[in-house]
Amino acid sequence: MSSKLLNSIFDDKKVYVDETFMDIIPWFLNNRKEDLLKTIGFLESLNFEQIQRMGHRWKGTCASYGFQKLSEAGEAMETWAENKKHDEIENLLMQVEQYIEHLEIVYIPTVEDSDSLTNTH
Amino acid sequence: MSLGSSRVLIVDDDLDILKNMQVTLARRGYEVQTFLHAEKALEYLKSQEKRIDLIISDIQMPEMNGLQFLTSVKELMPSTPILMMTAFGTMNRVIEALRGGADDFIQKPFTPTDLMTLVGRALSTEYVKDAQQPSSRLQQQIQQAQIVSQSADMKKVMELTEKVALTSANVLITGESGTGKEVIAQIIHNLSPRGNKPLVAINCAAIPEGLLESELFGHAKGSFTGAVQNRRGLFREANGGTLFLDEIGDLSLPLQAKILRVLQEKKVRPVGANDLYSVDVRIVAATHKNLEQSIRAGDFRSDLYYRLNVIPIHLSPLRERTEDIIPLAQLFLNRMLKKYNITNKRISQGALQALLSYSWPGNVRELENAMERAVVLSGHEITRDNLFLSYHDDKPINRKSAALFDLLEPMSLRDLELLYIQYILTKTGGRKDKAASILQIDRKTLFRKLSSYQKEIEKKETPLESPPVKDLSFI
Ligand SMILES: Nc1ncnc2c1ncn2[C@@H]1O[C@H](COP(=O)(O)OP(=O)(O)O)[C@@H](O)[C@H]1O
Repeated sequence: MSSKLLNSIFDDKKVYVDETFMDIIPWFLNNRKEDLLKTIGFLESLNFEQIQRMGHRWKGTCASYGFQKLSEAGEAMETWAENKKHDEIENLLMQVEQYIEHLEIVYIPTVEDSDSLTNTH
Repeated sequence: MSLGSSRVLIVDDDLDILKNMQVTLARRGYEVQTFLHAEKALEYLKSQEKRIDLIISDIQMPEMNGLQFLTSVKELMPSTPILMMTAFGTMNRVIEALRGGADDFIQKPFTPTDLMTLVGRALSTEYVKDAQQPSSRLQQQIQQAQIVSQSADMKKVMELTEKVALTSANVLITGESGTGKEVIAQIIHNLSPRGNKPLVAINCAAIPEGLLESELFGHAKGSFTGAVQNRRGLFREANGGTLFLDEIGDLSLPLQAKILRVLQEKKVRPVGANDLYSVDVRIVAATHKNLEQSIRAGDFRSDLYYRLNVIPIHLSPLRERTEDIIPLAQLFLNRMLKKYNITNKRISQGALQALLSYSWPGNVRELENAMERAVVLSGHEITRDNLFLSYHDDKPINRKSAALFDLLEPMSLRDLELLYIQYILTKTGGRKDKAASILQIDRKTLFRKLSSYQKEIEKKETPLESPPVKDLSFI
């Protein structure tokens, strides 16, 4: 993903989140802010391995909460860290910080698949 | 039936994921016990404080990893179902986990619906019952479909196929053309809990790009010329069952993006329609290409690859599993004798030797064709000559190049070279340095070739018309 593309990706601040997670979203977002601070530290000490790990984690975690774009950011972070792209990562972190600050979360009901809830125990 | 009684134990070193799953399950009445360390989870299980109905564990964790945990759990409580969580790029471990007794896989990231579907399945008695008799069902499949699996390679493939079938994971089958990828896809479907639902197959390379989208996703009436009726599309036709996407490596990038979206959202929007439709399909994809190479070349999306390739199955070329050749030849001989109503024919020693030493570039399919030809053309004994093995073209020309050459008149190598150089020049907008780099010759050589052709043309006074390659933008 190019930096330009990434900027435009973060333009739309609306996120649809399953209402299951309503109570823990503040906690989740706080964790992400802490991750960002940590990552900025990693970048300062050129610790690309840790950034790569962080990106990988975001990739799997954030979309599981409905934050698709943060997962995409994680993926970009991972790839760029692998290639030691300092400036790209720096720009990305700034974008993500802004994005998280101005999120507009819309809670939506779970689309339940009735069969999947059959619990025979 | 009460929802409150099922107890689920979850292990993951990622607290965000643990919380996510805990909330999702607790909200739906499950009792959840979470652990950040596999050792701690194991201690808890050993203490047998409370009954546990289902275990979910991440594969990749520091200290005791998911595979070691799986092994210990299987010793401790062999009948408790266990689901493994996988992140992108842990394919090799998935196979190990499958062999180690994992019942199914959850791929990160997942939605609450994904999680509930898998948990519901793992706990349903039907699923457990299914899992009890897989081997006899595999044997039945092998007999019914007359599958030959004498070689160690094929035995391994069948063992994996049987295990994979019981999971809900997407599967990517790789192997040269004619190695039996479609056969394996069919068995996976038949043995899976989706076996009584449809298996829908499509060859992505055989359908023109423009039609493929509406073929897969359907279209609304009037959405384009020729769309005279609504069309459901194959994703919806396969709903509840399996969609076999053959030659997935030939999909264009835009279509890859669209398929990825469907896999992520589990919804399709037919071309020209406003409504979204929910779909529940398992994807079994196949390709003869090396997709990792395609990814490096920018021709295949890595995110789609990881979604499709949760579990890889590789079929080796027939020349690498010679133990299968004679049993296959025998099988096809019997089949053809029946087809042509011939009572008896035997294969000569010489022919057997030839079958074994030939390289089978077209694999099982080529062997099948060779046997059919031989049955028709031979006397009471099939000889080496009846097999018509084409030793000279060991390396088969690939299908795309064959399609290209079919469009051209036979010509000299020199003319072909000129044609190709001109084609590359049109592609590079006439830039000779770029063309030279694509052709991997230096610029001087390119100039020399062009000017020598030019002289030849002037001598003949029959200027070469602009080559017909302009229309071949599909290659
Ligand atoms: N192990 C096998 N035993 C019996 N027949 C096989 C086996 N593998 C492949 N075939 C047959 O060979 C032909 C080609 O197989 P197919 O699955 O279409 O290959 P692919 O999809 O890899 O091109 C089919 O007619 C299939 O029935």
